[in-house]
Amino acid sequence: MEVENNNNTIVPENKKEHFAYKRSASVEIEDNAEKIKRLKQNGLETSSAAQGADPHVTEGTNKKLAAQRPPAQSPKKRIQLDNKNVAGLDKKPKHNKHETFMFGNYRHYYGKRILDKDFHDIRLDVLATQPELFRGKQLLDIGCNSGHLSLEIAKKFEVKSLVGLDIDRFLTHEAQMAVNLLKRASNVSAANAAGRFPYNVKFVHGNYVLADDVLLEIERPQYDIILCLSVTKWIHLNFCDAGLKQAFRRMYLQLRPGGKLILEPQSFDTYKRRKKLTDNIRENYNAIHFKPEQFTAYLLSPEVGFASMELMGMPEHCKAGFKRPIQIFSKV
Amino acid sequence: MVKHSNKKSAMHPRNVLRTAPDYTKLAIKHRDFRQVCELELNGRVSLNFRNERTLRELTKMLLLEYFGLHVEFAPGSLVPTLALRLNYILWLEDLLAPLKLDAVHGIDIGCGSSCIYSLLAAKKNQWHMLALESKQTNIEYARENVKRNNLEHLVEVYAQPDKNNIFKSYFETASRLPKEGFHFCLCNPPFFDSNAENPFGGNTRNPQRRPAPNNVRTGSAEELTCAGGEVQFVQRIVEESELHQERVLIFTSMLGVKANVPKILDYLQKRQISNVSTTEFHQGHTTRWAVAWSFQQLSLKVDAALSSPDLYRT
Repeated sequence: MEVENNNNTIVPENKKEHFAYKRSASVEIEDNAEKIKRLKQNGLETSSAAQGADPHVTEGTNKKLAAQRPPAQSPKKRIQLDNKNVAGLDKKPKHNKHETFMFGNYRHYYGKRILDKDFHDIRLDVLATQPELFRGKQLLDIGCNSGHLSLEIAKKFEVKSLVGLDIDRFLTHEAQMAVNLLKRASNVSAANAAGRFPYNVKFVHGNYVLADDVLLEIERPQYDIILCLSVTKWIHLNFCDAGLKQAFRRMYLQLRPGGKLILEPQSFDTYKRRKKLTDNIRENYNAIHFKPEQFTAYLLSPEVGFASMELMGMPEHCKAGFKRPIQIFSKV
Repeated sequence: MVKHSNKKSAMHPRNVLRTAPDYTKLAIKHRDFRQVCELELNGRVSLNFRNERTLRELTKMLLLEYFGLHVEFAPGSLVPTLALRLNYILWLEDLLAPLKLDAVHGIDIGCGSSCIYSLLAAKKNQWHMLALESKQTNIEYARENVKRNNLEHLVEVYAQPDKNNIFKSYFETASRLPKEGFHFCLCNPPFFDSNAENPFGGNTRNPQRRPAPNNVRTGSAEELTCAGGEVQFVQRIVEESELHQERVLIFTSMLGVKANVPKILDYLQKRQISNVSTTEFHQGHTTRWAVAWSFQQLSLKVDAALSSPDLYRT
């Protein structure tokens, strides 16, 4: 019986059941040799110390398995698999089970391990097609959740600065703690590294939608790039057409000339399953007239003022529901 | 490090600005005020108090919001801070409370272009105010402000012909004086000495004990300085008060510098004026002082229950 064994130690015969009990996932699939081999294959691919094939699997088997392997998916649907988040798990993680995340403010949205060197949100691949958009620029990330993607963007693309905003105080706090951890780990004094990662990243708690449209009068250009990734649905459901339109206008006003909005809107058919979250959301859902198909036209209209829209790309290798186009709106 | 105590909690208990205003809500409501506000990422509004235009729009807005007063300031003139003006008026209310007066008459010495003390006193308490002012532009603005707020029946702006006199010109020439006389006079004198080498230079603040004020200085030299500064100015009020002992029940004046308080107290003692009291006005990082004296028998001690508990803290 081949039991998945991350340690690569030889398991003595009398301990095999013991180990199987501890890793209950393994227990479920222990009769499926194919599945086991596939998991090992994944383990090999994602672990950084993957040197040489697993002694139990030949090279030919490796290639065949790679072709058969279903696309990467996990409870955190955009990051690549690691050993632990296995498709065999039939229970969703308990931390998300009973709570209403009415702002899309999910805990552990990016996975449980923070600052994981294996973290790779597939949207990064799309963003990486135009790295010069970000290098040396001042960024705002609206709805940054726990900040994992924001931090990755700030580091990978060598931004001048990044501010992440989230409506959930707990998530913002987590993000700021991650920054503090990075600072402590970096062994450089704050004075010397003032403009450099991670000293150029900060997280703010708040609602991007303002209490009243008139406050837009005093909004000022202050960012080169604004990221709004998979957030429009939540603004729309919680703050209605008016709130979303105001947010779009605010984004334009906060951009400097030549600045760009990178938008990843959710499609309307994904709203329906969230309409039961709260009474307020249900009412708002029923009152929506401004549909995602109309977003581009609105953003390009004089009411907002973007000059052009360009399709940046669409992430591959993910579940269909997350295949959302990423658009770039440019301000003259 | 010595802890800075924020004296905001020592504002007069009835001061409406004791709790900080919600500037975001006020920015949404008042268009002109909004223009001097800064919008933060989290949707809250913040103010840079170290800017004259901000201070002017702020005071204008607060006067409108809390008192329904529409006030314009002459450009370059002193922008009064509302919290301090209110603290002064509230102290006067406390001094007069035991007298249980039906109608109150007061004198505002040097009302400025805003005429703010008289407007507040009239609007809030329906007091009859005589506003004395010597600078022509200020007189015009003050009269406009009184008219704009429909308070001409309560506030009279009198043009002082001679800067060196306080009451003299008015008392000698006025056709009609209130029967019962005036119950008080108030004054916000020019703090600084125009004869000094560096009128604004003397920094009597200990930065470790008290942080610098979070504002910027406003006002013309004429409003801020005079020969001999506030000490000499208040001494003149004292001298003139002796000539008009029965005309005004309680004479008061504010002082901007703590060290000047004992100087005035000594001066009063020298003139053998014994019915004297002092107070402090606390607002944010700034403290001011005031002196009251009277030639009548009434008590100038404010009932502690009515006023700030810190009032007589040594």
